[in-house]
Amino acid sequence: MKIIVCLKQVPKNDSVLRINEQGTWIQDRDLTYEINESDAYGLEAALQLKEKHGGEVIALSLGPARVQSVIKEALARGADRGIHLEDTAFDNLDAYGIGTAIAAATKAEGFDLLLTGLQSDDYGFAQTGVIAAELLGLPHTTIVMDVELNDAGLRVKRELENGFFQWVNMPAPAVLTIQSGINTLRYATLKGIMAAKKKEIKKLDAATLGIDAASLAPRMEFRRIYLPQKNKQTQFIEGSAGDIAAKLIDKLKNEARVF
Amino acid sequence: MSETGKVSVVKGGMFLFEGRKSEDVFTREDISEEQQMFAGVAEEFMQKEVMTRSEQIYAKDWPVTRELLLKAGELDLLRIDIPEQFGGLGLDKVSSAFVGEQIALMPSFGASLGAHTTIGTLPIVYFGNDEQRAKYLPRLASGELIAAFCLTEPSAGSDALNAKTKATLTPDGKHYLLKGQKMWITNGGFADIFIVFAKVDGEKFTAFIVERDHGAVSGHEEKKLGLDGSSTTAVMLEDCKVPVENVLGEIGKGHVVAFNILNFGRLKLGSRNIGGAKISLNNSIAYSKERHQFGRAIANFGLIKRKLAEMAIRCFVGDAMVWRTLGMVDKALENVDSNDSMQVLKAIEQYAVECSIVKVWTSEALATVTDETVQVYGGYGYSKDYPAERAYRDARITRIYEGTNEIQRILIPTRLLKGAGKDQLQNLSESISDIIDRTRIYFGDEGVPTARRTLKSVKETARLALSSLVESHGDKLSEEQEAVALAADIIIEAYAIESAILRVEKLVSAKGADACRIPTEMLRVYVNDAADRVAISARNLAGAVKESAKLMQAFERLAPQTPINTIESRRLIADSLIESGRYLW
Repeated sequence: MKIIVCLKQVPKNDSVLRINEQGTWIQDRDLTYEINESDAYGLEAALQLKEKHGGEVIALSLGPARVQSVIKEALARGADRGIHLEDTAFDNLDAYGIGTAIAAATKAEGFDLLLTGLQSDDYGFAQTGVIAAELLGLPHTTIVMDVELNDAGLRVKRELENGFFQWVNMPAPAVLTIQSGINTLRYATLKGIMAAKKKEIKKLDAATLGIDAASLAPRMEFRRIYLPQKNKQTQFIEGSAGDIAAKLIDKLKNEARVF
Repeated sequence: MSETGKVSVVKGGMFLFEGRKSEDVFTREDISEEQQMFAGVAEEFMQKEVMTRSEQIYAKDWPVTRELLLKAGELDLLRIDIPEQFGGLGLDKVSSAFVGEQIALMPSFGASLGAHTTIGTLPIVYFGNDEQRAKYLPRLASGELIAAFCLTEPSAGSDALNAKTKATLTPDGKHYLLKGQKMWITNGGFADIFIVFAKVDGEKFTAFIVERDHGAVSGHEEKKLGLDGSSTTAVMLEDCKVPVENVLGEIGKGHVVAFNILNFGRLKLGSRNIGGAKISLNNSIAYSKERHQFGRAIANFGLIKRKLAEMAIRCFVGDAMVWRTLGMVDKALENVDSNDSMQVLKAIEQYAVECSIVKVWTSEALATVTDETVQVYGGYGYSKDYPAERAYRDARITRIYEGTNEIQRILIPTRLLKGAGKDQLQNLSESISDIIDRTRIYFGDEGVPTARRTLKSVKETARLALSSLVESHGDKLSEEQEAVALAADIIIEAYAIESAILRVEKLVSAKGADACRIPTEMLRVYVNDAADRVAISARNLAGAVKESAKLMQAFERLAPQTPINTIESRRLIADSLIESGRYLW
């Protein structure tokens, strides 16, 4: 089974975030990066499938030179090779643009299963995997908690709301977006890190993939980003103890929405 | 593997007699991406596996510690220094120390792991014969077996060769019977393998590989000031029957085993010390931003800023010393056959002076930083519910173990006089009056160039101190500990100042002066204060040697410098820490 896992490099979740001068995104100065959380679970799911059924795991990431470190991290944990989509044309893409690039690269590579995390920790669009699947004309399932192989293709457990989930059968090749926390992430070992040096990382740019600039043009833009404004507002609730309790419950439920 | 490619090999101890350029030294900034990844594994392991079990570890639930050591073995964290043919990775010392720094996140667990991998395992790596290495190293590398180092005895601490433990050959010639008691043994409560030093026939100091089943018995857990999540016990050897094939190295050459292992141990301790200091500094930054008094965060107050800046300076200078030394050792090791233990040890041993300097300076820096962290936390710093208290207690041992700082201060000048300094100081007969002539007072402040001029003066003071010690006390130097230690203090500062200069110069040439404003300020403040400390040491020494009037004259020329506004500099440094929320260098 040939599995491609998409890994996004995102700022570490304990980063001190500062907004850039244009007010359109965060400053990248002083940031350190890591693999997007749900993507890491996607990688682990892929490695477990490979251990069970054999095959190959390919780690794919899009971005500037620094994203190679997430590919190397994946190689150290056991992925067989890497694909790095690097081109200035790939800077500042929206989910559609990233989906376009991923679709082109993975179509050229060919696969049985394409995994992404369910959403990125920085933008949080939860669209990239689905857009890539649509552009590839392949079946897809989101918020996946488990993947099994069967004769017909895949049996996939997807998360619904309120603690419910659903098993669905689907043909392969397919695209799945993976939920966080579904498996136990393995560590890279030092030997794995040393072995990763010998593994191939193929670099692909827009021209090689036959992507024209128009198909990458953003369909969405950030106008302004800002930190949540903190303010203190005190409301006095008056009346009898019973009235106060009732009003308080109402406000907590319907205004503060804490339950 | 290592990124020390461009760094050239330098002779140990020569820093005092030669100049260095920044491109000649390794700095923390030269750590490779692969080495960062190694450390990343260790950090993740510490955060996810170890820190989450701290309650059990501090409750001395040793099966948990053993389980974690086994897990560390699965991730290859115990096999870094073991050669490949014995199940290890045979990695460079920079990798080893950088991984060690991450383990400092919990010093108690760091003590367990470090005692196993360094003083527990390395004696077999370096001195074991092929059978011993094949028998023990793979299982020590995996964490299946855990090792301990048994040198100290109730009445033989710093004076280790005064050991009372005896080894007597059995009449059939097949075993040694070991009889005696060892003290303060890290991992003593749960180790399987003990590197024990005993005197064959009460005379020949010899190392043995002792298995627990041979009859080593652990005493009760010591109730310690710090590192209370690590096992420290006595180990009793009552007719402990050890096969003759378990003699480690040569009979009568135990001191070679004991002392050589400690050189690298001291250097590695340096990276753990500064790692610990950075954790305390980051805690101090975070707390001082949260804690409000008089209507504002205490981070806004000058005296808190002063503390934060001073902690950062110690971390910056300490790292400069640690990684410079590690880079030198790695470079020297690249030129020796890694299978030839004697060559490897000789390569490390030639940097014994630098290793001792790093040990003393970083342990005292850690003491300052953890002490000031308690102060930043105020009353909460005195409470066990906050991290400052434990860090303060854990730090205290680092000035005692791996050779007390007092012993190191004696070793530094003594070794220099026997080694690198021997030829160099003979040329000093040109000597005192020439040096006085060359030692100028420098005015003006231009940052790094000024620091370089101060360095020149400090080095000359150090050389002068050494030669005047010899001139005044000659062979009786060992009875003049106080004077020797004063010279050591000057030598230590010379190494610290030079390492900091080299790191800043290298940073500036890589990133440009604007991006290195804060490191440059840290350097200026450090050098300013260090020059005064050197002058005080020098003045005290001058009073205790011959020709004191001449020396006084020379030393006093070093002290005056153009005053710099260290208050402003420290505020700048502190403001950058407060803004970024953590120490970034």
